[in-house]
Amino acid sequence: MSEFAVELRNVFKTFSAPNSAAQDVYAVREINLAIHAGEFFTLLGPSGCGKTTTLRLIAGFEQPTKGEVLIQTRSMNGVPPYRRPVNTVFQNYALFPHLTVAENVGFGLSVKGVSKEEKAKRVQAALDLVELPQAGNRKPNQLSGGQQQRVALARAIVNQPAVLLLDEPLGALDLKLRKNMQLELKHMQEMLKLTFIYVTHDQEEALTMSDRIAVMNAGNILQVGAPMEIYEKPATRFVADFIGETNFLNARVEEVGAEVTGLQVADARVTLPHQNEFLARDAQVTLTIRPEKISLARPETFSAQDAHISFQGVVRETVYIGTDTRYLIALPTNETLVARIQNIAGHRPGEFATGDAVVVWCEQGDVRVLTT
Amino acid sequence: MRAPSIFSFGFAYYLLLALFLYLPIVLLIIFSFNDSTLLVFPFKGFTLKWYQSLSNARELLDAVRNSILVGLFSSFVAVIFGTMAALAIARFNFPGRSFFLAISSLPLVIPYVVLGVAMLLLFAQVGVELSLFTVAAAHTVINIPYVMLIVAARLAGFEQNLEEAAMDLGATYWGMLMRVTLPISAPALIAAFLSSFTTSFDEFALAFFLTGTDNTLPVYLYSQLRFPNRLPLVVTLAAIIMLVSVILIVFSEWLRRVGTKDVPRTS
Repeated sequence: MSEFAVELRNVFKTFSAPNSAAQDVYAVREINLAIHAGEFFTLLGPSGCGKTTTLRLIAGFEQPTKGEVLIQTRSMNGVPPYRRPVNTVFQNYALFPHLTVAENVGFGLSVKGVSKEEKAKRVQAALDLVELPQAGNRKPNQLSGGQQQRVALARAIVNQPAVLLLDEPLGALDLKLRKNMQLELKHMQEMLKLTFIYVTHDQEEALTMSDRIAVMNAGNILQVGAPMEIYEKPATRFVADFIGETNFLNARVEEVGAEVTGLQVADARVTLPHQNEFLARDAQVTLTIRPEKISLARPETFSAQDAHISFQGVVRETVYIGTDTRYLIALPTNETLVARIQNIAGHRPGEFATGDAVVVWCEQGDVRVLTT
Repeated sequence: MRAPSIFSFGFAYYLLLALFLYLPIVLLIIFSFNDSTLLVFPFKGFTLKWYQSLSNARELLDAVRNSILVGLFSSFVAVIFGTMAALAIARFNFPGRSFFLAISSLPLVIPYVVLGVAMLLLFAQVGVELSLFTVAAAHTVINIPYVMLIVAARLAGFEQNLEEAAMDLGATYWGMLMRVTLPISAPALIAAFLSSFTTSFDEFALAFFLTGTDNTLPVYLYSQLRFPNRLPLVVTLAAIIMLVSVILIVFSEWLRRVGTKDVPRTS
């Protein structure tokens, strides 16, 4: 078993309520995470889901109410932040206003008592790395937001920590700068071979940068996996909904065969190969299909094939978005599906008009069955 | 907001108020240059002889020295304790915090005469002789709330994140205090020190009750008011002290504001 850079074992964190009458608040519960060395690991979720609390538990600003935090297999319970081999890049940078950029970056080294020559060398190397080689003598309030963020990054990296924690560091930047910094951070992480633990609520950012993502909501971890796995095989309705766009269909299990399940969906009968769930007869489940996996065809030219499922429907709405055309299809049960058809050869924009009867079809493998 | 007109009622009221407050002081300063032992109009003649004779007034200068010593000592101790109290109030949520804050602010509302009598009784009971130390002790007590409130306001103004960042980078609590919190709060600390010094230097009631054989300046001045021929000296000294106080307060206020400008506030 390879050594994990960071491990959280059954971690709970509660904050006591301000007055004794109210209930204690669970910030996070039953957190189990194992993060590999050199991994770019992201905690993703909406505001208040507990992702920042989890990060602070790893940094040492909070102690777990129950459970254990381990860094490089050493237990960190009771260990204060200044004795942990981690450094944090804060959301609002937290640069020291009374020190110059060089003094900021060298702060961790000063505290350790590193010699002046060594410190100057390492500080300059860190500033070169974040492409701010001339900024050493400036004060933080003379820099732009993007530059301050890079100084904060240099200040953390110069200490060569085992793990780098980043708390929504790109949140305050404009869109273009954010996109650039996403790529820069990813490249830096790969080059330095550091373990990054990244917190964000932006699912596109998470999909772009991460090796693995942990999706969180209301203090719980819902799913952990590589971006492709999270996107293509969401484990719960929340994950499917939070990441990208999804269609949901209500379904009832009719028959559980040896290899396939029969479901009643939208007035049609559909068979799907078994997925990971064990389904009981008459269970109510949810099917999810991504809009880009759906294809449309004319009823007269359509021929059903094995390993495909299809429904009859009527086009309610068409929206042209340049790269795709978005169709809103109404099914006989009045449920709706969104289909995104790329505007490429074979599919003229406006191929289907509002009111047209269409067949909606997709491959069996693109349908996920969810019980939660 | 409209700029107030020169001829408005508000401005007239302000002018009257300023005159009422500062006219006596200005008159004193004028009289310190007057060649007469009587503080009456008309002026007899411009002279600097009172300023010159100041340097020979032994008792007077001793009193000045005592006041300075008491001021420095009590301000220094008050800044130490007041800052410690401010750190506790601003950064920690401990049981009894509100009570602690109330108790620490109490000297602000106790009349100094009452406090003076109480401390006199205390020292008599415990057997401590009255001296400059007892005066300094009393001045420390009245200065601690000022220091605590000034420094706590400063600490509340800058983000807790800076202190977390320092600890994240390897500084212990003490290291964080020395490298981040206190340097950033330095203007407030100095302002608090200067404010305490001025309070102590001008303070009369407590010094009156608690002074031993050595006098502080206000107490000495009070005792000299019976001698009319000494009055011009007293007036001259008062003028000098007034000027120094004004300079100190203006400088202290400027310092207090300087620090708040370049610190990021919680958004």
